Amino acid sequence: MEYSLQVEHLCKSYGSFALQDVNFSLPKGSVMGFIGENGAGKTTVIKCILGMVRKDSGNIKLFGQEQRGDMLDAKQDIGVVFDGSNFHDPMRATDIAAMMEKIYRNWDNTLFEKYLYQFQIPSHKLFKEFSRGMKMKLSIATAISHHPKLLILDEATSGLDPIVRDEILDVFFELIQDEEHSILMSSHITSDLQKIADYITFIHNGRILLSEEKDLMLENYRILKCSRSQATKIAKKDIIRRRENEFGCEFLMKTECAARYREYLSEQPSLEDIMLFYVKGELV
Amino acid sequence: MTGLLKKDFRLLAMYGKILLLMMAIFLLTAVFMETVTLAAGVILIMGLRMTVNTISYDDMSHFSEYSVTLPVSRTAQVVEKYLFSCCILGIGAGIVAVLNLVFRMMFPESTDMVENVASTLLCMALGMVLISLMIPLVYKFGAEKARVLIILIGMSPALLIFLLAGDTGLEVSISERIIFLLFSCSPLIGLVFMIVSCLISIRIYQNKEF
Repeated sequence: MEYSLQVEHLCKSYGSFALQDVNFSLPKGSVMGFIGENGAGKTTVIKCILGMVRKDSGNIKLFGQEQRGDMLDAKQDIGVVFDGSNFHDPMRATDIAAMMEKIYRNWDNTLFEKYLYQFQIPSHKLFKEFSRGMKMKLSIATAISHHPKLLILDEATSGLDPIVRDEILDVFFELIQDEEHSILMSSHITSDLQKIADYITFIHNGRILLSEEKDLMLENYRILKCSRSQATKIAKKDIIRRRENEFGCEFLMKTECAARYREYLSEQPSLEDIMLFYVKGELV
Repeated sequence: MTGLLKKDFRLLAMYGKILLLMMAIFLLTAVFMETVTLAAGVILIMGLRMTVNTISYDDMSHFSEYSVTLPVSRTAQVVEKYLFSCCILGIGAGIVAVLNLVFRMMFPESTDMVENVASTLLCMALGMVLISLMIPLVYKFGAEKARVLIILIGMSPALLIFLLAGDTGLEVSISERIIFLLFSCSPLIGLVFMIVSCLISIRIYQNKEF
């Protein structure tokens, strides 16, 4: 299998916080959702991948090549979108295009104009006059107009209304159809990832807890719900995490373990449920 | 690098309107006072400000973080700032050269071309030295702290000499020969400062984390 991105044994310490032995791989032509609570290390991992910070140890391979130094060749094939805006207030879409044309070998002005039209972004309006959604759409248009093989999005859709997010997801769907493009997308909005992602990587306190195919992950986990008295009959070895509320107990467990407790109410979890259990649930 | 230069000149056109207006006012003042040296000094200050401002604007808009993800090396990003400042000083020198010619035509008796050219060269060289001191400080400490530091660095030698001369009665005199040598070599001295400064800035920027 070809991989667009491979992160191996990545470590980066900031004193009170550290990435510890982060490992995951993004197969070519796939979308990976990168989830975790605030401060879990998502942005730090992305910054290590892009060379914005120096990793303490580990390997990062982009398009099968280990990366060192400025990674100029790899960056020609990467599009990046961060949360918030990264362009100067008095710039216009035309100014951004003029700049990017000289930076990216494969910059496609026709494609950029197509996305401006699709997103209804006026080409001569100042960047500071755009709404948050328009700024994000312009950033995305910029990131994909040089035909990148890998798109890295760090909370790019947070703070956007559902209509804009849906519009952006449609663009990503279109992008990945040819199976030549990959997307690494960090987001809190797990419902978006549930729609688009093929793989999910879950990071918590600087460690990767899960990294697997999304559909398999959702099939492999069940939430078991029962009363406190019933909870005593559940074997500890079957429990991944436990949560209590005023109504009773909830357990996150593997599907094959949940099959032993047919008399209890069980349901398929969402990505958000799995995340909440791992972060807020207790180990038994 | 060309893309980033384009971006900085575009920002100059948009953000720099006030600075350009101030420069126009000072240049007019220079014309009325019949002094090219004042004009050269104004251009020096403006050149320094414009260069520092572009780095500051990049930080404020978070473009500096984004630029590290672009296929432009950190070395090229630093060199671009020095090239930009050289372009600004070069354009400024061109404006002063034109002013020199205008003054020569308007006030032939009171205009000493040699003195004007020499003072212009010295101002440009001083601009290169100040930019060379400023840019590494901006990369290391940010624009606001760097401005304070450059004032301290710039004033310290003058203050020291003033205090020493006052206390000891020391008279400082420089021979005409040395002055001529300084004027002639000033662009070269400025260039040497810029090259050393560029190397220091590259080192600082390559180790910077975003």
